[in-house]
Amino acid sequence: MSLDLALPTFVEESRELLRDMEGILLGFESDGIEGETLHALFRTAHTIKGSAGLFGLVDIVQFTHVVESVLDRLRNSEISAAAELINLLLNCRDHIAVLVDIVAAGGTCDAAEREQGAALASALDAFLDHAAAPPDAPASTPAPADGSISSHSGERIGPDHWHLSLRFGPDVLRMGMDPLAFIRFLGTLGSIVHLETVFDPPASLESYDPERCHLGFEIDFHTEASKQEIESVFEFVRDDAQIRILPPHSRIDDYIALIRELPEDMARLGDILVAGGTLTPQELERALQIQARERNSSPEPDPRRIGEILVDSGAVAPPVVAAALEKQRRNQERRASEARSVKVPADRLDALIDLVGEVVIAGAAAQLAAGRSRQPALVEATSHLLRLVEDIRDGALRLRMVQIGEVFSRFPRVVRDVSRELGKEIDLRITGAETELDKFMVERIGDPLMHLVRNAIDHAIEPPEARLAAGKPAIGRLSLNAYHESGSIVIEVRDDGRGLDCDRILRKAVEKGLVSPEQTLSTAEIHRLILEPGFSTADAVTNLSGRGVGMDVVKSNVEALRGTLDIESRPWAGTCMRICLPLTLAIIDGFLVTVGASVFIVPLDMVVECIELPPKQAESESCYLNLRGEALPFLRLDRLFEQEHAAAARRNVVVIKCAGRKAGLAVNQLLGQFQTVIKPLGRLFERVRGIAGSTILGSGEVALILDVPQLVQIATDGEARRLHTVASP
Amino acid sequence: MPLEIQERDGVCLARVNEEMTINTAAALFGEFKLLFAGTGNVEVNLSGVGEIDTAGLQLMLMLKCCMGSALRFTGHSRAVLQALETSNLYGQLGDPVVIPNGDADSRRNRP
Repeated sequence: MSLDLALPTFVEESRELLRDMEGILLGFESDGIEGETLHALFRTAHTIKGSAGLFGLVDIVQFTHVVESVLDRLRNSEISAAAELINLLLNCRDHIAVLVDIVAAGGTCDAAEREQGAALASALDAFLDHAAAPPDAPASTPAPADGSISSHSGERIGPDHWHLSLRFGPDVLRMGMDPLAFIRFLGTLGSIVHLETVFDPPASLESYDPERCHLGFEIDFHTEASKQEIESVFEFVRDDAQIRILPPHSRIDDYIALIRELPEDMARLGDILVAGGTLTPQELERALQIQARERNSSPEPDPRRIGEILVDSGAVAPPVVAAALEKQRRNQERRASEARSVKVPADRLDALIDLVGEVVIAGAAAQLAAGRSRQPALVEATSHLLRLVEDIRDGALRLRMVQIGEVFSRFPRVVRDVSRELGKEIDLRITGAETELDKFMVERIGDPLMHLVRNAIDHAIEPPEARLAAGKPAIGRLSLNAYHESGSIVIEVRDDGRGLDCDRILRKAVEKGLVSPEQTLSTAEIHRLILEPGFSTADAVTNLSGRGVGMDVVKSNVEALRGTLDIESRPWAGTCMRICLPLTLAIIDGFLVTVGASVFIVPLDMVVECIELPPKQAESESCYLNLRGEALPFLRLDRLFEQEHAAAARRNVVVIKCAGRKAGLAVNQLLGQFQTVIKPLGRLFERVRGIAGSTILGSGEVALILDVPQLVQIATDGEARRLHTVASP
Repeated sequence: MPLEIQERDGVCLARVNEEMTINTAAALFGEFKLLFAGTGNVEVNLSGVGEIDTAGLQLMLMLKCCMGSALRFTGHSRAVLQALETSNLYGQLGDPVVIPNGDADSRRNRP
């Protein structure tokens, strides 16, 4: 197996882990610290280090090792998670992310990165040193007579070197392998602090077989290398030897396990560990005490120690029990996550959805043909088939759905960083993170959202003093919310800042020549002015200026996704930017209508009801009709699309709803529901107003899909707006 | 002959004239066994050992283990010294190296 093939997986996994790490660290700041999350935090660093070691990514391993050591101390409550440490760890996380990015790009670290890594590592060292000599070092603490075993047998002891325990199988020499050569090679990975050769002689000279290996080594080894690297030294003898590797600062348990597992006399091994400085004599004594006590006091074997028990009873050849357990745990974790999700390349999914789209079209053609044939059995069969196709379509589309939380998850960090930079305190609330939308959208909505969030922090939310002066709480609130509404997903970025200043916007717009001074504009229209290109340059109204990308770019990004951007703002009370996006870009349920001689499709999710257009209304020029006492703006599609046809006597109104606003569309015939595979419009038609795409009907005809959000916009903007558009298209 | 054996002052002087590796370990062990069966004190001169591996080292350990103080290793060659250093066995197998005995050394080093 080539490791290179697995590298993208490593990068992906690492990024996921780094995301988790960030989330946990940020959680510490807001919610305080819990034991379980500390373990999770440690595991993220540990896993990254382990996988990086597998790929020989020395830079990542070295740096992550330091981080891991600090996290380990944190986990054991040897140091406390002060704000400065969390800050430092966040920076370290960023540095690991940079290193991973470098790996992803196929590059190598340059001096700047190394320097930064070294700076962070030395900052971390402070936390290690601080913890290295705690007043109650294990060695000096006498074991309490009645103390529970687990509490102190779990303590970390030992210096910062590895302990390797090697026992070679009898046939190693005959197979042409030379353990001494392995030791020499090991010396190239680091420095051997202490080595003890353990000789297990046969009873007499007569029974000695000179070709049989009777040797073992106990090695204390100082290195920056990972466990995998150390293990790889012994790769060729792995099957014929017992290799136990204890990382630096292992738990007493591990040393006891080691001592117990080895065939030699217990006291002798203890002596060796003491000689190598791995254990102090007191620690050894305590370890042996604990062990003895365990043996006396617990006839029931602790389930945790099943590996040791198996070894003791000879049920399994004693492999590296610790390593085996670790491996087992990791496998379990992996299996569990594999069972929950399957990774599929996006292009295969796209191909599947394309295919489903074709099936839908073919199905529609079949249904049409069946209808014409007037054979009840055939009609029934095709309609059943079509229903199944519908289910398949829904299933296929759901495959592409991901939770928007993926996008939201990056904001806590952004908010934290930006608000610190600006000296503001901001409370970010995220709701609806589990709302699902198309993966394609998720990828593209991130940047516009980021811009809105930064804008809100940067410009909308006032500094604490100003807030207090205005009678608001000093801590600003920013909320991100997502929810589903009539076939679309709505994402809101809401702040409780100073709101948009209509007068200043209007003044600026007049200055820029966007509107004439005589025009009277509604508040909503004024708000929309900030979305105009050229409005968000640096010297524009200060509380609106953006960072590089203007609001017009946000708007066009959203519109490229067939979405809309709404602004709702009250002076001094806050602003809500509402992005409304269609759920998917591939296949929708459509509602077929005719306008004149052409067929159009309205996305069914947005259809509220259909009513007949009162003849009186049909004659008049009014743009509103009375819907059960409610004034409903409506559009005459035949006029809009210049499809006026005298023959069509009967008129209907399709009531549509989008982002909380309703409008009516006056059409001729209602043809009913139709599964619609959205085909993009060519470049030439991109700018056509009111049309979102096209599709192919069962008969092979092309039908245009109406852009409901845009139509609602046109309808509700009223006559003034329409006149305006007519005047300057 | 892998072992060159002389006797002087009631001490058997054996000189190893070839590598001490897995390839020769069995043969060497056979000769040593014969040697030890006969005499009391033995000095094994290692200056001719060009190469030594784990099997050779283990053989030295085994001989030392069984013979105790009746066996002394002398004239360690470079290869042997390196192996002792790697395995940290100076204490057990390197007597003359650790406790240099100028007199005895010079005498023993002469064939």
